[in-house]
Formats: sequence, C-alpha cells, structure tokens
Amino acid sequence: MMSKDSEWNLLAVIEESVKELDDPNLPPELVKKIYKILQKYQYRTNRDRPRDLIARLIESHNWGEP
Amino acid sequence: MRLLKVELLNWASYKGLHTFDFSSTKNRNGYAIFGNNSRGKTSFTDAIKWVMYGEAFTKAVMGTDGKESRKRRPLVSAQQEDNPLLNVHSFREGVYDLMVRIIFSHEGTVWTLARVVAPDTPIVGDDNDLGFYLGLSSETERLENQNAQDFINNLLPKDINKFFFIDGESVNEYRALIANTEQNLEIRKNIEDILNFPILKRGAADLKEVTGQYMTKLSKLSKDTNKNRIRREKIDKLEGEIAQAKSYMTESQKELKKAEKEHDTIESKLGLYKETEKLIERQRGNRKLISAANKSQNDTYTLLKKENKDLWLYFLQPSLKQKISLLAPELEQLSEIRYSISQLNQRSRFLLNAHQGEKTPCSTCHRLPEPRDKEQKKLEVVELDDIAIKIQQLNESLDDHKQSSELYNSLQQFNTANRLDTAEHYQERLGELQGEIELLNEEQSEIKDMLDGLDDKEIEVLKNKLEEIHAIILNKRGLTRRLENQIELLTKEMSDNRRALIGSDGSDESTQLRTKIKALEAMSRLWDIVSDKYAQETRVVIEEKATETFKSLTNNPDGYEKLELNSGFGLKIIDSDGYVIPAPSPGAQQVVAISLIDALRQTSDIDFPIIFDTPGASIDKEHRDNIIKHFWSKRDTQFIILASSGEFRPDEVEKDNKALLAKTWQLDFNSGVNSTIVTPRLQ
Repeated sequence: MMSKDSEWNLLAVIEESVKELDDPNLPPELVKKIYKILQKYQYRTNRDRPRDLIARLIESHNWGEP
Repeated sequence: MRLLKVELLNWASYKGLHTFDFSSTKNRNGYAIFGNNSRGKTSFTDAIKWVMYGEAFTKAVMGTDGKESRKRRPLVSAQQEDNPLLNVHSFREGVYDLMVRIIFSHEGTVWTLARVVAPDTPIVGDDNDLGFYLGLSSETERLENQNAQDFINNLLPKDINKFFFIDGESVNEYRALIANTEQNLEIRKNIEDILNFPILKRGAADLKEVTGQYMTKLSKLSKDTNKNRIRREKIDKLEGEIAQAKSYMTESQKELKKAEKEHDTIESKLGLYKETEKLIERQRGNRKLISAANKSQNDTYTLLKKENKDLWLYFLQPSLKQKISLLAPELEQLSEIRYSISQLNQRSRFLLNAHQGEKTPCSTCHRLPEPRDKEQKKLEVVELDDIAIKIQQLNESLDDHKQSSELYNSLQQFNTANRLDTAEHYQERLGELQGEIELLNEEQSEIKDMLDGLDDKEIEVLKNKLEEIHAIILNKRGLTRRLENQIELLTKEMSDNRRALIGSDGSDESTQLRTKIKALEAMSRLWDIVSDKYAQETRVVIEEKATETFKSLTNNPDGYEKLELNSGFGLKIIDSDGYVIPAPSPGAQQVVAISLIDALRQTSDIDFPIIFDTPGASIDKEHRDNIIKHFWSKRDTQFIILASSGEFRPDEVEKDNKALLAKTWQLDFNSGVNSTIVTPRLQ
C-alpha cells in the first residue's frame, strides 16, 4: 500500500522480506500478484473470490518441469 | 473522495426534503454547519453514516458497569425519545418514505449513492414493515445492494469510519487510544485496521485455506495401497468429525451470542434496579437528616419559648412602668430614708471618733474635735444611743420598701432590644429548619413514588434469570473453547495423515502439487513475518505524523519534543527536556487523541472527508481555533465541522477564516413545520 504522504509502503516491506528470506519457493513476481489480489479484496468479508483467484494464479504460474 | 451534495428526506429532525450543496469553485476545504443543540447537527453526520453502512447509533451512554455504550436507532417510532430515523411527525402523519442521498466525486467519476426506505405494508407499525434499497450509480455504472455496499466498504471500511466521523462529545472513546503508556492493544488494533493489515491478516488465512485445498487434491492422487486406504478412511472420518465439531461450535456460538444479548437486555433492566438501591440509600440518608433537623427544631423551639417568656415580660413592661410610677412616692421615701441613715451613720462615726481621743481627726471630715467639757461628753453618749435607735428604725422601714425596690431594679436591668433580636433569630432558624424538613419530605415522597412503581417480584425474577443466563454464557464459552481445541487437534491429526499420504505418492502430478504447496506454505510464512515488521515500521511513521499534528495543534509547541509510540504501541508525551509527562490534562489528552487520529488517517491511503461533530467539546477556544485552522488549511481533504454556538461564533469564524472557508450553513428548528430549517450562510 502506498500511503499518501510517504514513500514507505507495504509492498516494499514484502519485497524486502522476500529478498532477505531468499527462499526458492517464493517467486517474487508471484508474491506481487498475490499481494495485488489481496489488496483488491482486503475488505471483502466473503473470501471465496480472492481464494479462487489465488488458486488460479498458482495454477497458471510456470513451475518448471517436475 | 469529495462530497458534492447531501439530500435528506424525512430524516430525523429534517421533515421533507433538505439539501446541502457542497460543490464549490473556491478550491477550499473548509465547511461549517452551525446550530444550537437539537437542531440536527449530529443527525447530519448520522445520515452520511447511514447511507454508507445502513445503521445509525444514539450518543454514547454510561452503563451501570461504567462502560459507554450506544444503541442502534430504530427506523420508526412515534416517540421522539426513541431517536427514530424517520421523522416522528412524518410517521404520525402516515408518511413513511425515508431517504438519504449523497453525490460525490471519486477518482474523477461522479457517483450518486442513495439508501431508501419505503413501506411494505399500507400501515407501518415497526421496522419490520419497511423495505430497504441501496443504489450506487455513475454515468456508466450502476451497482445495487451488496455490490454497492462492497464499493462503499472499499471507499471507507466501516471498522475505521471513526477516524473520519469524529465525535468531539465522545472523546472518551478516543482517549482509550492513549490510555496506556506501556502497551496499547487498542492503538495496535486501530493501526492494523486503518492501514492495509487486512491484506496481511485475511491474506494469511486465505493462503492457509488454499494450501489446504491443494493438500486435499494431493491426497486424492495417492495410490490405493492398503495403508493409504486406512489413512484415507481415517482422513474421511476426521473430516466428518471436524465438520460435526464445527457445526456444534457454530451452534454454540449462536447460543452464546443470543445469551449475551439477553444478558445485556436484563442487565440494562436491572440497571434501573441499581438506581433503586441508590434511591433507597438516599431515602435512609434523608431520614437521618430529617431526624437531625427535627431535633434541632425542638432545641430551637425550647430556646424560643424561653425568649417568648422574656418577650412576654417585655410586652408587660408598660404596665410595670405604670406600677413603678405608682410606687414613685414610696421610692422617694425610700431614698430619703437611705439618706437619713447615711447622715446618722456619719454623725455616729464622728461622735465615736471624738470619744477615742481629741487628738484623733474625724475619719469622715478629717477635722480635729473641738475641746468639750464632761457635761457635753455625756450628752454626746446619749445622742449616740438615740442615733442607734433611729438607724434601727429606719432600717426596718427600709425592709418594708425592699420588694418595690427589687422590682424596680429587675425592670431596669431588662434589655428589651437584645431580647427581641434573639427571638427573631430563633424564629428565623425555626423557619429555615422547617423549610429543610419540607424539602427533605418532598424528596422522600418522590423517592417513595419511584420505589412504589417498581415491582420487587419482577426484579427478583430478572436477577434469577440473569444468574441462569450467566451460567449458560460460561457454559457456552467453555464449550466453544473445548470445541476449538478439539477442532485444532483433529485438524492437526488430519494434516499429519494427509502428509503421510502425500509422502507415499511419487507421480509427476503429485510432485507438481507438492511444489505448489511448498510455495503456498512459504508465502504463509512470509505473510506472518511481514505482519510484525510492517506493524513496527508503521508505528514509526505514525509517531512522526502524530507529533507533527500535535505540535501544530498545541499552544505550546516548544514545550514538547514529541509523541512517542513504543514497540508495545503505548503512547507517551515527551516534553522539551526529554521527560515523559506523567499525567496530561484532559485537554492535552484530547489534543493527543486528535493528533493520533489525524496521523492514522494520513498514513492510510483512504481519501474521505473528515466530518467533525462538536470539535470544541472539552477544550478551550485557542485549541478549537488551532484545530479548525490546522484541518482547513493543511490538508487536501474536505473538513466539515458541526459546531454549536457555545463552541464557535459563526460570524467570528467566518470572518477569521474567510480565505479557508468554502461554505457554511445555519440550522434552526421551526416548530410551526416541525422541522430543522437549513439556511445557507457563506456560499
């Protein structure tokens, strides 16, 4: 989230943490897309839609050869 | 988001249609609605809350437990004291249409949001006879009911609306924000709510749920070995048990909620009873006071009686004087006798002195006796005897007149003026005491009437019922906890079985699924780590913003260094010497609370007008002026104040802030048409 008066934001904190963790199971671009979905539906009480979108995103991501 | 227009139809005190036009070409953010109490200021704020969230609440009331609570306002009622949303006079006249409509611009689009209530039946008795409609439209889009509500919830989530609809009279609620200087969960919760924490909190739950779905998929792929068959059977059984436990828990939670609601209702009824206990206590106190006043009255009466007796003498005085005057010759005679006795005593002393020796001077006239012969001395002895006899006779005569003399003396000593004053004083005191007793008796009678109106049996029944419900609540809470633990254990067991099942499978598809599950699990871990990190980073930003606003609002910016939010989210005011201010004044607390609210609002990415009802409640004029100037001049947001004439003088505010104000209105109540009247002032 970008605050109105500051450059500091949540996505930056997430991206920084992804770098620090350096986990091969955490593709940065996937993290960013999931963040966007959750941001859009953050105040929705019924969570079916964001969960469905996350599952679709996981399915459509290129995970490489097994 | 900028408000362009607000329309109210039969809303609370606004009978008929009333419009506030906020559109302005002045490029200013200052708006003010002035009006005395009960003119519709708070109803204006409630209207905007209601059109957005479909609910409006009464002002906070202190409960018997010392906590402030608000009641939901009903849609309709014929009683003004119920605070219904539909104008009471419209309702009585059979007009049931109620509407609030706002027009606003948001990200370049003009939207119209309307919430409408219309009757489902020809005659409306209560809220159940009414239907709702919520619509949101722009030139290109139209959303209704839940979709419109979702849009509004994204615009300004209901949970955090208190940072934009600020109620100066409910500052206690805000002071809770700064109640603890060491650890403050309230501040942390508000920070989490107002900033993007739902992304993290709800996101973590979403990621775990999706991970679970993938694990289920994977388990189904597993080979049908005997061992796995047993595991699957076990998983199926556990799934059934979990579903059943969840169903029990939902049921238990429903019952708990119902019991808690009933508990609140009874407790509120019993609140009246607690008031009664206070009344009884007061009645006892009054009895003691009446008894003391009665005693004091008796004592005063005794004193007055004595004084009355003296007064009686006073009033008899003329007749006594008359009697004395009648005795005047006797008194004159008395005086002559006394004089004669005195003369004789003097002669007697002279003669006795002369007999003692011719060289001894007289003790009265200090002269030496003249020389005398024997004959003469003899005659003097005879004279002395005669004098003694005469004195004795005169003394006897004096005794005869003694009574008249005493009566005369007592009357002369009688101080009539003082007696009269004292009597009046006692009379006055008696009157005061009588007044006190009458007042106390009157209060006793009122208390008795109030107590007579209460049904002891009903109170007893309510008390018993409350105990029963309390037991049910404890039971249901315990049950819910047990079920939660049970579900957690069962879920863990199921998860272990699933993992074992997944581990035994080695197909390509299952390998793919395992990769996805690992990614989702890593994502969940990431979300947990970021939640804590983000909270701490947010804290630092809010500390800076709150300090900046605080220095702008306080009259003594150089006296403070900063507002400090520690890692436990406890808030402290640090003075210019770097020391914590241990007990800030209520006014300072309010300014701190407003600074914190402003910091939270600034740090969020929500763009919404600030509507501040009674901004001057419990702070002085200088701070009030600082607040309105700060918000009207330094922000790019509309700032609407709803002020009573006790807080701000409209003419003065308009004159002092001419360059900052866009529009102002005046609210009055016209009893002829039973409605608030909206009059534009500065436009």
